[in-house]
Amino acid sequence: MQAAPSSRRPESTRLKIGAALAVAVGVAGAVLLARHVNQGAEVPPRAAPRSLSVRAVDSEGSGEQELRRELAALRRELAGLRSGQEALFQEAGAPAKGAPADPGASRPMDDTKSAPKSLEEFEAREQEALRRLDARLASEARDTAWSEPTEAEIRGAIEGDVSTRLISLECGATLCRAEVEHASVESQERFLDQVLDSPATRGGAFIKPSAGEPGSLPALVYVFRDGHNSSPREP
Amino acid sequence: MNKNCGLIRAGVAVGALSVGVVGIANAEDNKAYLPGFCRATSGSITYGSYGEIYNASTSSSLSLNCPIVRENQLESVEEIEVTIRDRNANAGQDVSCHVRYRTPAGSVGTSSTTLTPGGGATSSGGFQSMELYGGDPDLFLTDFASIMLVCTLPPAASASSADRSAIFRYRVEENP
Repeated sequence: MQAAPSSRRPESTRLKIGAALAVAVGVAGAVLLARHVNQGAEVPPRAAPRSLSVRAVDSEGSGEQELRRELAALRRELAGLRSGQEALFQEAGAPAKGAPADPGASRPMDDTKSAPKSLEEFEAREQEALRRLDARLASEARDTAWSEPTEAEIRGAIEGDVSTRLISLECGATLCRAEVEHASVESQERFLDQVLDSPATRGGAFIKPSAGEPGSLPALVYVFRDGHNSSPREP
Repeated sequence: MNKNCGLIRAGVAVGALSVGVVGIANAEDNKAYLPGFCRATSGSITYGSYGEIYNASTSSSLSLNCPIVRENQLESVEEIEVTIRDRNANAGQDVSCHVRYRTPAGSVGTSSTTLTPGGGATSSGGFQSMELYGGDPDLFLTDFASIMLVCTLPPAASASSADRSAIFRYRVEENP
């Protein structure tokens, strides 16, 4: 009773190997057939090693060896195709399957952005963007050729409105920042139009008015040098 | 084998390129507007037969606010092209355009100002293309902001209709 299974075990193993080889032969045959169809009449007849794989169905010892070599060759070919595909994806700018995401990679569209869920979230984003502008100004050396005439223009635009008070003004090489205070909401609104219409802001400007005490409404004014009005996401 | 690999690789390349092209086409948005959408903030508008706007005044500039509707409010404006005619050859009397916007938090901003290309008068009956940005987004913070094009047309050089400066169309391209 115990001897029978052991005597059958090699036979079933052989059967499994045979089945596996038959499947492999089938796959290889399908691949070869597809290649023949694709190549058409211009291609010379297949070389001997490839056609051997079809004849190896007779499961002779030499045929089995040949099949194994054929399988190994097909695997290498598949691996080559996979790496080629990954290279193509990488050239196209998309991450290859299985490749780690590169957060610093340039993208045609910034898909990391999402809609702010509330006004508070939007305010927070705006404050963060302004902090980056402040950091940019702090890192700039003063370029007097631009900053001095620009400061004069900004002073002229701000001081032209009697209900607006200039608290501070600082210019670097490409950016100016002014803190102002308005007497009323009306004067603040008028100020926004007045400054944006003035020659001082021909290079672009951004003004953030804030809520404050009655009679003292603060606003931050950023004035850009022409050609340097870049988004904080794209410095 | 090499030929097959080449064919398969070419197929994959064409497929990847097709996906890329379709993606870009979907992301890009381009709209051309009639100036008839604009409203005057100073001066008076004279409309033409095709929705164009002229400044018929020989003494006052005409300032216009023109709406810009973005397909995706998280995308910046890549380029604005304004088709104009500037018939005033005097210095400082150019057609000028810039973008102005207001964020949901109440902040306001403006782009740099673009003047008549070449700074002179357009030939009588001619058109000029004025490009804002030139492909480099220079607006500071425009997510969810309302955006408009602001243009000023100088006074007409004479009472003749041929000497009126005009805006014929404007085209807005979102950042793809």
